[in-house]
Amino acid sequence: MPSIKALATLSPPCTTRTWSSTPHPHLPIVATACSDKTARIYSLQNFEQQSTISGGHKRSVRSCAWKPNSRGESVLVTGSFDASAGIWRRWENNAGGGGKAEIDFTGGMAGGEEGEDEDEDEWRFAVILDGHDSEIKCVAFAATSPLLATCSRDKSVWIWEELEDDNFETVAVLQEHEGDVKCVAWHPSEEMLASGSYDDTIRLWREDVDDWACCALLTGHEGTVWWMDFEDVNNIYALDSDSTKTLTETQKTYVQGRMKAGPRLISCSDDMTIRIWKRIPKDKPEVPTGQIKAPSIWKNRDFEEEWVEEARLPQVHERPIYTVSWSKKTGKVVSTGSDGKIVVYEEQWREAKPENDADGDTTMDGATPAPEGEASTTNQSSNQLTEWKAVAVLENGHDVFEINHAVWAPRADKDKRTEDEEVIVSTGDDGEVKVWTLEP
Amino acid sequence: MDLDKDNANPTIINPSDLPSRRRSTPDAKPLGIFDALVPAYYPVALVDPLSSPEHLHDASSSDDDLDREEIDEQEVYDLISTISDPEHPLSLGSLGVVTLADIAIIPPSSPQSRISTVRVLVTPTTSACSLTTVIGLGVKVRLMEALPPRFRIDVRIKQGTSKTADEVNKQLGDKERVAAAMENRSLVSVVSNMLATCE
Amino acid sequence: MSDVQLYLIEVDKDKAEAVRIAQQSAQRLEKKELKLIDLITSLEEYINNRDDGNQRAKSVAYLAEVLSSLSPKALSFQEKRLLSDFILGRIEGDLEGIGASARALVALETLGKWDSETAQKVLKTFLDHTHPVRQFKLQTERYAIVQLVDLLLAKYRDAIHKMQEEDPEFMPVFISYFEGEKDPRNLMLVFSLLQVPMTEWDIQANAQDLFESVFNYFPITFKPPPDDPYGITAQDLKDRLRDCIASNSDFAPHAFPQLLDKLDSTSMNTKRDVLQAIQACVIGYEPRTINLYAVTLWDALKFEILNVQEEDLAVESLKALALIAAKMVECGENQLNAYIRPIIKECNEHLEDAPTKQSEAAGKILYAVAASSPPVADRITKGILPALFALFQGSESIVRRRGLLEVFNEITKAYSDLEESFPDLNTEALQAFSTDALDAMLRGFVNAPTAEVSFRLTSLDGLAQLAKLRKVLSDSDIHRVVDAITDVVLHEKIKGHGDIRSNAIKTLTEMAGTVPDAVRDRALPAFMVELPDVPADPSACDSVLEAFAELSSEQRIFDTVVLRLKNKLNAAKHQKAPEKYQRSLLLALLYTFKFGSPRQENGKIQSEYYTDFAEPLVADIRQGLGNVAPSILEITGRICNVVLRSQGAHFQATVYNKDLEWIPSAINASQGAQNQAFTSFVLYYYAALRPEVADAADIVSQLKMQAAVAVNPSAGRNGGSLRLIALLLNKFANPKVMQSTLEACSIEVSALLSNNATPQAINLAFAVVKALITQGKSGALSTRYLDLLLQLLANGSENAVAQQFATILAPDDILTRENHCFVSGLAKQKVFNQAVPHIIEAVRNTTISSTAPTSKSNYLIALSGILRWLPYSILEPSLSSLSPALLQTLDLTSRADDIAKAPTLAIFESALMHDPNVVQEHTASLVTRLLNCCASVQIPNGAKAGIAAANTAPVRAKALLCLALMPRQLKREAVVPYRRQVVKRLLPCLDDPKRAVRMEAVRCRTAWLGLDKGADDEE
Repeated sequence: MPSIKALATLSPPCTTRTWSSTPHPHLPIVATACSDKTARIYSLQNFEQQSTISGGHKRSVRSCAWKPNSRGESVLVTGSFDASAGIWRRWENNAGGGGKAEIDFTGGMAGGEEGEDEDEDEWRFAVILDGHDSEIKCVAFAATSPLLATCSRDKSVWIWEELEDDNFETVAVLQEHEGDVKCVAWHPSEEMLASGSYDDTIRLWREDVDDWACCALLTGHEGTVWWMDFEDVNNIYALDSDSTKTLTETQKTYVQGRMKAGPRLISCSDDMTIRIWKRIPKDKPEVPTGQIKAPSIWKNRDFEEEWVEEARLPQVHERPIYTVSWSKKTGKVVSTGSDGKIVVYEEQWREAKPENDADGDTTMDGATPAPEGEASTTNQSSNQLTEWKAVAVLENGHDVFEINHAVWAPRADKDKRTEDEEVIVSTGDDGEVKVWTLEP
Repeated sequence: MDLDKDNANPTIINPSDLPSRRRSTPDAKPLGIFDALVPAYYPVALVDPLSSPEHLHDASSSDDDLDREEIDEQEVYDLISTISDPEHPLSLGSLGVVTLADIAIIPPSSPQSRISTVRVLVTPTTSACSLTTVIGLGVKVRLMEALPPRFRIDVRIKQGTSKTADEVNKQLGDKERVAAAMENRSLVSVVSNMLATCE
Repeated sequence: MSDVQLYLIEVDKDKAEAVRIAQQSAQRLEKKELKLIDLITSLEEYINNRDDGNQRAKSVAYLAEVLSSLSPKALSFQEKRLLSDFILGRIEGDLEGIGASARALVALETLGKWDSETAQKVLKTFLDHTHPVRQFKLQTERYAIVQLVDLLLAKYRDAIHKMQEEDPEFMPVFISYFEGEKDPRNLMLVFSLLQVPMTEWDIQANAQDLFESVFNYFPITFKPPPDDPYGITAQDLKDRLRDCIASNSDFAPHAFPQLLDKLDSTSMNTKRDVLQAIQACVIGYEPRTINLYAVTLWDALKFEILNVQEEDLAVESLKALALIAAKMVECGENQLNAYIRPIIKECNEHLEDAPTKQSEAAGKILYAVAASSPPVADRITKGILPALFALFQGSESIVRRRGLLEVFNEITKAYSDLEESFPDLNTEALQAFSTDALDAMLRGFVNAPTAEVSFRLTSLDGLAQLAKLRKVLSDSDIHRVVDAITDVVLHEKIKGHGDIRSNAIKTLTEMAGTVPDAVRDRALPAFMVELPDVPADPSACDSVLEAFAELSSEQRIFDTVVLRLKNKLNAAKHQKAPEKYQRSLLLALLYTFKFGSPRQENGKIQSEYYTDFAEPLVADIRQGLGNVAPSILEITGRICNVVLRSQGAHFQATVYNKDLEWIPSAINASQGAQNQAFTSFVLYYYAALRPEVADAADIVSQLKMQAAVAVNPSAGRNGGSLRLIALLLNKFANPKVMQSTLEACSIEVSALLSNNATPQAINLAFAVVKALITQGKSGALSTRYLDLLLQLLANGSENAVAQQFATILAPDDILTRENHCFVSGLAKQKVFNQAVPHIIEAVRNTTISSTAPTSKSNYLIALSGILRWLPYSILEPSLSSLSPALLQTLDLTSRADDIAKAPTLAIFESALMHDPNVVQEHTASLVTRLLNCCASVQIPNGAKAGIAAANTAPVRAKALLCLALMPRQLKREAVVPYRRQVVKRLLPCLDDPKRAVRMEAVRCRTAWLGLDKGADDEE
């Protein structure tokens, strides 16, 4: 049974609540959104603060996102309760080398105000995005195109397109949610956006002809949807690990089915459940030309998509779950929330074969709705072939405080054991950001 | 902000009927009037220098932190009953908006966990009280500021006392909304006016 | 040059000089060196200077000056007449110097009274030819005129009144004469002079104009200028104006409508003025006038009470209602009823849904109105009680019933107020319901569920009220009440919510004052039943005894109470009741004499009490010598002390000389613990004696004996001896020969402290020094001794010595003026001046790492031991020099040192309150230390914080209290940098093991969070 072990606490900590920490796409740094109106950049190499981004926002910074594949220059977007989003740029020298660590010499005495002027040269304020009527809750850059999504308590999701040099244009304002939009997440390989809301639903959005519209409505959660994450495009790692040969026929079909369906979506909620959603492919399966190209098949099919709850993770949390993060390397999932627990889950083949040896599809389009409610049983999955297990649980991760965010990030300190070892970065109400390793 | 009074003439609970620490948990032996007569020897220090002259302390000399006074429902009640209603110049306690009976402290679910929960059920002065949310927010904020962080604070509207109960409960339960509300000037000033009467 | 010329030259340059010149002319007139006629002629050219008005004015001023410095004899009647004609003549033609003219006339009048013609002429001239506000910008000029008119109305009323009666045109002119006056000083006069016509003349015809002329100024919104030479306040104006408004019933038709109209104002101050005015009118106007408006007023005023905006407005309105009621009584039956009826109706309606804000208000209204006079009370009662008790019977709800009883109690309260001034008050109306009420309340008090506290208390209150009224309850009824209350006191044993015993005791004590016989005959016996001679469980009786003793606070039953106690004590003794019980009985006696109300004669407790109560106790001790329990001895001593000390020298002497036969020898004989016990008796006994009473030889031998005990290591606890020594030295030893006395008794301090003194010797030294310093008569000696004590600190002796310093100035119930000791008012200041600089110096020079590691902390402990007893005013001046040492005191870590922290924190508390600026410069270090002081356990994070050992709860609480003051008392910018850190570090305190500390923590954290609030856009 693996265990979650404390590796470090990023220093200095913030003196007030911190909301989330987002790892840089390729540098060993995270951007932490703080309620003291700043964003702090910490190094994952020496675990010390590199710089503070402040002065841009009048209220809490709620979330941050890095622009992907932006070599040579880091681009950060900060979403704030002041209803605006800020774009910040910094040239990448030895960024993350953590050579220069800005330790707050006042020993945190003077709170966030100090150290503002430091690094002024380093982080350049590029542009402020106004438009939302109230607090911005989440921001996200698209992986496949120069698109940025922001969502807000004003019930809307905005999609911005970055034309050259900091010129952002609103390409869509999506207003079908009936409550605060709490989170947005982009599909890793398609131009598709997911949004989770206070109205307990998840909506998927795509461009139809040249108009963004909702292509799927995912209902089932019985409370605010706090966070979502897509799995990696290559999403079978969890199952085929070196044992592909030994797969049974049904398992092989199941794997192909999943390849065809593309990355799944995971969501966590105030209702204390974590659910996995999958797309139902529309056509009768023709021989897939290979998993990578697979998604392209779906283009220019008719617009509506059908997504169903495939599985529900074992319920370990006793209070609202604030985030869930899906490792792109191992397929493991980490969740955390109000109860201060950090939980890691893993998807495994079922030991016992199911009775009726039906192939994946039939079992699926049977669409046996995931049983509601009852917790604890390790498997609520509608597919009988795999099951999710909670493999590690940590209590009181941030002392008695709530944990607002936990995410997988590449390990970068000197003691890293393997090339693609990952750490968990958790962010709490105590203003601390902690780094954890998963001990086998 | 001017508030339309939903209930201009609410029933007021008589102070002596409100639960209080003194009345609910008396000392083992209440200090008799004679105890005051027994002489306070200042110079016990003079008597034998070795005895720690604790008695030179004002107030309670018997300070044994080992016997811990746990945070109980009464203490929570005392924290919120003095909040004043935004509508009447009266305390939530005297209006029966908060009552001792509707406060519950739920201990940690497991031996490992150190997190307890305080649940407070709020009873609006009328089912139509437009200010239910504000009152709930006031109670929540007060407890978030006054209770140690090991407590999770659930403030809910008592079943069937308000049309909008579910809506309000969801809002008060939403950490993000509460946090944002506390960065909103006008709301902050309303709430701090309500809390101004807390001692 | 003539005086006039001189005057005219000087007047603008040097006013004083000009006046002097005028006075000089006056003297010359007196001395007849100057003839009046010459003076006038010398004036002529200037006073008539056509082209220079200014000069004309000044020359009149000169004349005025001269006249006002003349003595009555100086001028003949004709001269005066001539002068006044001259001046009045001028006015008709020339208005220049009008003020001066007025002054001149006033001066003339003081030189000799006018006849009515002159008076009338003067006024007429002014009315006809001048109009102050329109014509004269200078308020000083107008002031002169106003003064003149005021004088006319004051001294020549009839003359002026005649003008009004004869000439219908007079009033309009007169009224409009001061129209538009704005100057406060003038207004003050105008308001008061207008009251003459208002109150004394028949002005019906001009009522409205006259009224408007003053009401225009209502409400007064005048703010006196900061440097107002006349110090006239808005209140002065308000009062005068109010008197005008209320002065004449004919104003009513104009006054009430307009006042009620203004009552709707949104300004609270206006409302206040209106209510005051209404009250004044009600008092001032004729009953029949009030009668016309009574109901209207009620309809308006009730809202101020039923929907209170501001408490005081409600109170004022209630007063008004009461005043109206009183007036209506003068009007007679029907009018009164007409007024009361709507009130009763309204209140009855509110009773329907009692208890509410409204029903409470109704109660207040009924009380206020009923208390205004007996007949009103009678009608109210008849109007309200039937409905009230109908509702009461009709409702099962205890809350409702409580609400109703509260109203009922208001009514009885009105009766008992009235009874003060109407001894044979007619209470029939109330009697009619006394049985209903009595039953209802007895049932409520006795049978209601004990959780219904407010209901039971309301009943209790009502019962007491009812019983208090003469002739309402029969004796047997009163007995039922007393029995019921006594029963609760004696038998109700409720812990926690529902415990109303203390209220019952309080009420019973009050009733001992109002119905002493009932309490004596019913309650006291019941108590005695609960107090057996030999109780199985003594502690069970304590609560009864305490209640019983409390009754002694009522003089009328004091003697009975103490007598019963005495008898009980004797019985207990004879039957060998447990010592604990006897002790409780003694304590009860002590309590009665200390806090009860024994009979006094010329300012002191009657000496009989000593003979009857204390002496027998002393006698017992004498017989039982050697085997009387220590606790008995000590309390007996204190009883003697209380009763004996205020007695005169003669009485004391007789007592003392009798006891001299045995007490000294008794001490001598006694050993060890018994000795100390007996000493404690002797201590209080001698504390009672007057200096002159004592016998020198006895004192010396006492000192020697006690000294021997005090220094004897094997004597064990010897606090009694030390205190006795201190007492004897302070009170009886002759300061002049103090040192030799000390030597004679071998308690000379330098001797005691010489080479390696024993702890006992050191303690004794402190006792002696305390005695001398308190006495303040042997300055040099005590200074030297105090130095010796301070030196003890240098050689890091164990900190017991340091702690002793707290005892020097510690308050002491023996060394007091009541005990005829010498208590110098300067003692504290002296000790401070001598010891503190020395210690601060030492603290600065000793580092923790120095040879004697503990010595620094010793100094700090000694310092706080001294400072803790000083009034803040003494150390305030040296605060900044003290601060470093004080801050270091907060760093002390060992639990033993903890006693030093609490007083130090107390000092910072005062400093933060009174001298924040001094504290401000230490903000950083103070924040850190306070945070350490409020930690209940090791603080994990923070650099020096680690050393913070567990602090005692009082220290933690105090530290939090100080910390909470900082954001309130210091400049925002000084504290803001620390707010986040403080707010975070306070989190653990919210979980402190002690509730009291948590409360402080919450307050403190709220204070610091407050810095954030609203300031969200800063940064």
